[in-house]
Amino acid sequence: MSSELKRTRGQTCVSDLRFDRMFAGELGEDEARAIDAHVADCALCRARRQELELARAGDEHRSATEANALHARATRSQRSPFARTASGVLAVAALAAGVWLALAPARGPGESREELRFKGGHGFGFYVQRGAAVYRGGPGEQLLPGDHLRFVARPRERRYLAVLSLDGAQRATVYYPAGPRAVALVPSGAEQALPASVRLDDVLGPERLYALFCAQPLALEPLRTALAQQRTTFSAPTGCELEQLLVHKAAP
Amino acid sequence: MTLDRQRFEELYRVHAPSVRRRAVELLGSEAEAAEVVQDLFLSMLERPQQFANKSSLTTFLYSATTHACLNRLRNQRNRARLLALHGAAAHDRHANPRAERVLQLRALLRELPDELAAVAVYHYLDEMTYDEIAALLGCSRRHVGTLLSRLAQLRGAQPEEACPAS
Repeated sequence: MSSELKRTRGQTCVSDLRFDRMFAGELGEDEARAIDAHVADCALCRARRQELELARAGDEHRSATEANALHARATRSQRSPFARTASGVLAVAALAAGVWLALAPARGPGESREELRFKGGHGFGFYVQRGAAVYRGGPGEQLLPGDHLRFVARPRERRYLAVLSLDGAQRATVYYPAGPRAVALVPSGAEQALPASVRLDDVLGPERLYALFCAQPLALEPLRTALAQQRTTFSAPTGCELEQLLVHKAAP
Repeated sequence: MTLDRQRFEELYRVHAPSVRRRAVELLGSEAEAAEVVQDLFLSMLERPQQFANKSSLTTFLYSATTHACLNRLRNQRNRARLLALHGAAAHDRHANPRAERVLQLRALLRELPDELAAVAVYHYLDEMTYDEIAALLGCSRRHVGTLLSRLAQLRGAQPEEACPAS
């Protein structure tokens, strides 16, 4: 048998189980803070947490579809596995991760915008996929139902990120991540595409996109509830920075 | 206890990624891992009482995933197929130290009895503490230390560390 097999993290480090329990919201605030404190000082755990977060985020896009299909199979339902996709608003697209961003031109088709700028200090922005075309969106972007959005960010420092939306019907939705808490994003010196995309539904009108960059992995449902209640007066919770983009969704 | 669609979707969204990640690493096959994910979550739908009193669903699923994967690794019909996959995966193993470790672990698992195989998974793949392994296996920390010593002997290696003090 091989004798080379060794673990990399020590007994005082954070195991994958503990990280996964934290991602699942099974740990208390104190324990989550203790993990954050350890990770801040431990390069091995920091790297592992980032690996796990990226893997998890990359996997989330298929969860709703698979879960519905399994549930339908188990209950022998004749309904479509897509019938219950989060109020029809958030259809997380099973796009080949990263491919369409790599093909994106610098400017939108037929647009003369010289520079598509990011708003705010953490470089929050998005790309649009419409049919076969992929282009970079920006503030005031005119979008269509069925467009896919892929969010990008360039965080100045390690932050937990969540993206929420308030659509033309004043309905609040969490666009990213699919899990219960904001997901860590580590500065890499480059713009990072979030590993999931959203498909816009057919609610027309102005839609506000909110990116929250937080020091702690905040739970998302209270944020969504606050956005639903406060609407356009929604402000960043303590410890978070808020960046907004206003886009417009019109009929084709 | 029943799981309605919304609750099941939430559980799946939160827990399926870790089940899938561990199954892919243990089995070396996305397709095999997808079957494990499907089997475990269907079982959850059909018999939700099996985890009704668990304080941590994540821990429960770690154990269930480990056993499901070890069973598959031992399945004679799967073995040849998975071995072929391991061979193919060996091409890039030097580019990724974790991939190298996982390959070695898979080779080791095929030769171990159940309890040692499970402790090897928790120790080397998930890098759990002795306390976490003991809780999952339902044994003492001392027994975990004994199992790891026996594992090291089988591998012809020195134990990495003695059972650390609490």
